[in-house]
Amino acid sequence: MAGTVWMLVFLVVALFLVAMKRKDDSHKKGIKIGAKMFYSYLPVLVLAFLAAGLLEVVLPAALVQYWLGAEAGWRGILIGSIAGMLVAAGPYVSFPIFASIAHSGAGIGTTVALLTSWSVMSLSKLPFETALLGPRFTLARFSLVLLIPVIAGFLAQFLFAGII
Amino acid sequence: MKKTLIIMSVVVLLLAALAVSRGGSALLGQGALSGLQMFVSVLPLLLAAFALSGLVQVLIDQQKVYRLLGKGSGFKGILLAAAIGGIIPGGPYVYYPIAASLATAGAEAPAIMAFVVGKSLWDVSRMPMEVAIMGGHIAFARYVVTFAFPVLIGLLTKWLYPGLAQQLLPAARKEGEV
Repeated sequence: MAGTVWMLVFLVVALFLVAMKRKDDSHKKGIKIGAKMFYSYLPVLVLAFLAAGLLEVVLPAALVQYWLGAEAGWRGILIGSIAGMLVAAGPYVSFPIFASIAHSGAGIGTTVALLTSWSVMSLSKLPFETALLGPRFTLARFSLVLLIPVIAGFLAQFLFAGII
Repeated sequence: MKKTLIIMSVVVLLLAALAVSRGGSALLGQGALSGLQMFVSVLPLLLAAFALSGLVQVLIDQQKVYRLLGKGSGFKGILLAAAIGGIIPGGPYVYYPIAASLATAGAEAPAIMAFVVGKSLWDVSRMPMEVAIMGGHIAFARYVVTFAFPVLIGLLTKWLYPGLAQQLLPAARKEGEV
């Protein structure tokens, strides 16, 4: 998190300096556009954060652990493909939970389906996506990525089970 | 934008109702507080992300973006967008503003889709954590079996949602006009 802040600040300063060098007030214009964007998105952003906070308490991340236990095989892959979506938290919270599921005996297919489902479908991203790109984009993307976790899970099972 | 605001309000209300039914007003308060705390704690990141979006919009040559990621950019544009997504660090409140500013600059829906899925699956900045916590073999397997999807989803968007480009991003387009 702190690393991300510094990297972003570095990028902002670098681009600001580049814009300043143009000597046509590009730097002021850029910040102005950013500020305008921020203000216009502020209401939906506040709603997005409220939704993210509520999701956190409605869907405790550890719930998935209880569900999955030591599921493996095709059943595990199917459950994992849905369960990952319900882990509404960032990587710092999610990865330790996924790791403990993997350690408690879930197969490689289940674990990969779970990780992939969380990566592409995690509910915690949806409020931000809807706020910034609109509900249509979110719906279209969701319809396209729906099968990825299942395919990834079966591929992982087929290619890697027994090898690693 | 107005439509988005309404949908988001409905979602928040539904979640609030769900929280009340599960744990009363205490759970509702806890969730709302946690959301607001999250907002305050990532505020510096948010401001930096929007400043970055604004500067990117001024600095990038719109014609270049249009040529690289816009209509007719095809497979190359999708590949490039997925790669940019994979490299950009930060959470959803960082990369969605950037996606919105790319859309405003003329990037097409398939490219934006590849950007978002590329961020989800290729995320270079998340890789060390994934390897450290999940273990190298699981992370390796996960990367191998999902590697092709960002590009594939970009292509599928082109084929299955050809009209998305014009209809899909009015929110981003309108907000970007200054």
